[in-house]
Amino acid sequence: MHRCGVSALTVSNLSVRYGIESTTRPVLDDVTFSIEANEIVGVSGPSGSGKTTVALALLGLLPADARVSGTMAFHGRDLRALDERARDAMRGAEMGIVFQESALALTPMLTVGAQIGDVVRAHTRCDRHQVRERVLTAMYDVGLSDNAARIYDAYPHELSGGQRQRILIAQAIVCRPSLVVADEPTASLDATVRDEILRLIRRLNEQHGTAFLIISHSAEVLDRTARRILVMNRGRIVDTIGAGHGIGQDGYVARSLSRSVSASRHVPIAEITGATKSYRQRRLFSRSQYEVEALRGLELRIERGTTLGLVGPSGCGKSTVARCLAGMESLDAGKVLLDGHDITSLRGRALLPYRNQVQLIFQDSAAALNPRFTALDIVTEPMVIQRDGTPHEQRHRAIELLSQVGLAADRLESRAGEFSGGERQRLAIARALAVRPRLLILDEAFSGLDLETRWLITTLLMTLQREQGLALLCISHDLEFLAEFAPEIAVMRNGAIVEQGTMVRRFVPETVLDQPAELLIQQDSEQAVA
Amino acid sequence: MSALRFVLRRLAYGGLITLGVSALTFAMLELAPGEFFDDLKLDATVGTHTVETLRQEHGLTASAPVRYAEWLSAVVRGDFGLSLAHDTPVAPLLWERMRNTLVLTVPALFITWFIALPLGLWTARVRGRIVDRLCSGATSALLALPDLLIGLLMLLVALKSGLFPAGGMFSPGAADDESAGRIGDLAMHAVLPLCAVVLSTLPAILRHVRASAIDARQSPAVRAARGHGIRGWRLNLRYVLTIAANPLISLAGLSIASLLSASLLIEVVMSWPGLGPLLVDALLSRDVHVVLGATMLATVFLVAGNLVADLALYAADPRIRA
Repeated sequence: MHRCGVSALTVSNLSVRYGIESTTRPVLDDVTFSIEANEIVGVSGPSGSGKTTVALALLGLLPADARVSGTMAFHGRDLRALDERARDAMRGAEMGIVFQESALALTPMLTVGAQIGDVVRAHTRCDRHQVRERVLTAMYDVGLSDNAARIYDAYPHELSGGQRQRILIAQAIVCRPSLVVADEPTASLDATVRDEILRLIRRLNEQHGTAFLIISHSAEVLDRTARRILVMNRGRIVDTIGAGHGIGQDGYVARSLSRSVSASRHVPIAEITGATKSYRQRRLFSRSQYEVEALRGLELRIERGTTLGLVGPSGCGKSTVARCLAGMESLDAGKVLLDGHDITSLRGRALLPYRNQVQLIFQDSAAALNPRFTALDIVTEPMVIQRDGTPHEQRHRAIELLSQVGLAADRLESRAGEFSGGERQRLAIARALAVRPRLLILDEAFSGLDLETRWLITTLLMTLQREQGLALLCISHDLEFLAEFAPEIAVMRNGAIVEQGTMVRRFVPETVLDQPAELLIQQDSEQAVA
Repeated sequence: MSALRFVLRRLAYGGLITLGVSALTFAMLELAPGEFFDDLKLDATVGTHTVETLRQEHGLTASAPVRYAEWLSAVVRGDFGLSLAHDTPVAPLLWERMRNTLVLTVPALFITWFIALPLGLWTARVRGRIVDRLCSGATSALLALPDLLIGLLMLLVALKSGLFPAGGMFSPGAADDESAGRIGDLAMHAVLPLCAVVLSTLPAILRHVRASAIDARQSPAVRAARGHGIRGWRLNLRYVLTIAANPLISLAGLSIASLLSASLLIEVVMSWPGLGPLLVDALLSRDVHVVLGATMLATVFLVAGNLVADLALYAADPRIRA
């Protein structure tokens, strides 16, 4: 299958650093690797190890103050020697890119169909119909065949995270480039769709000979697609391993996370009953509108000091549950009880006492942090707002929280914009913990994190749970991860909980992951007997 | 909420705001010492009795609420009350002056945005290079220059070059000429005041456009678009400009609001017969109804400008429609 010796891409001694040479650590340090035509290569490593910088360097998208040395040869051409026009012609047409954080990588102002179409128009001369044809083909390729026409005309904010991520992949492959660089391409997809995408990547690889460079923290994703995996740490490639050597089986699954049964169990900290919520969508000057029912009679109960996992396919209403619990959205019907108090109809000031009891952490944490604040500012701010302690105590506690989430003490004064995606997620978690919440909602908060960081943070959260009775609602599409982290799992589909219970197995065999999640869950009643 | 209901509600708010502003302006004029006929009292040849009679004739002896109510009824009638200085209804006086001001400010507004948008997008693209620095320097200098000085500089240009008339709207005698030559005469007279208005409004708007465009260029969405090879006008108009658009649309609404006030000072300096000189005279002589009328016009423009901006935002940003 692989034509050995035909290198699509050869990177030699690539180094990237910002600012003055003697004072800064290089972001990339003497990186050398090659990708053969038709090959899939994976890049793994902890957050901040320089994975994304490799992608940006290849595409020539590094900020202007980046200092690059080394060579990057793509089909024999030196990428660093290309002029602006040649590089623009190469991007998208010969080398495609899939970015992470789909909420940010698409412009909110254009329909997604237009945004895929712009990639086609940037590289080929076609009329409108041809463009539309090619866009729809790309959308079919990434599994958006159901209501493709509606999605074509939808704006990014009208789509779920999973749908948006597929649009990003469609943008990357629509011009059939010979190499696609994918930065966390499956981070926000549920298990079923993730498998589809991984299959799609393999299919494109086999049918069109497209080479892939896949950057992912998920050993499983890399294990199932890549032939070779480059392991990065602190800007260097520290190891190259052939896939299928078992790295997919280690990680957080193997690390047992102890959990406690606290005395205050069975006391609900939060409860949602009979909740319905729908969103209306509308076009300008058009009377036609359609309703999206996000919640249909949802019932959910989270007990004090426990962890509840919430799982379901993209677009089933998981995030709406999170926002309603946090008091950020109101229900059309039904009740939200927080610690026995009905907060359903509370607004503004009346809601204030409950605000810090529930904290939300999102997947796109970069969007939730002010890039000009330092790490210390970010964690101190909620305490300042709550007037919690003297400035000295606040600083002390902030430093403690930052070290708990594993951010080094010498980075306290770094600005949020200087942290990598995974590090920003840890910052967001530290900030949420600063107000001593009683319920922490993690909305896909782990999907941008590498295994090491996940383990660190889950351990921290478990300790807090044991010591302070913190309740956790962990929303994820990753059943495997939830199985280890959450003793109890609720399965959501079409705006309602269809099943709730305890995971039977610690390890979920690969073949079963494609099956509906219900199969994996033991009914509540059975568990009660046990 | 449908677009129509939104518009109706905003119009109702706008009416209330206008009413509130008129009451406030009236109260402030009331609190300021002195009134129109005070100058006459200084004239030894005019007896106090005569002044009293004049005040009575013009209804100035009535209490403030009564006079405000009378003025409101005059607004409803459409004549906006009587100007004490000109002894005519205020409305026709205002319409003519407003028309003259708009002749100056509407083209100025279009020219300003026509320069600011492409120049702002371009300087954002070449940020830090020599053209961008030159442009920044020039806008700083213009921002620092008082409008008054810009007007005077224009007069100096008129005098030294001799190409353009220094002040006024028409050459003597041309005002009654109905031919095409009249338009040409008007255009020649308008060139320098136009330049002055554009030069005084351009720097702030240009800076906003540049700053918004720089932010937009650094957004992940634009980085992703560049990563897909999207470039040139497609990148700049469809990605950079749309992402930068929201604050700029609000700013454009505000610049509509400033249509009547942008050129006041320059009109006075360059003797353009717009609202500026009228308002200054009316303020100095305490010609209450003229001041009120001009303030009302400015308020209506403010409300309308914001409404247009909100509608434009509604049309431009799909997230607001949802």
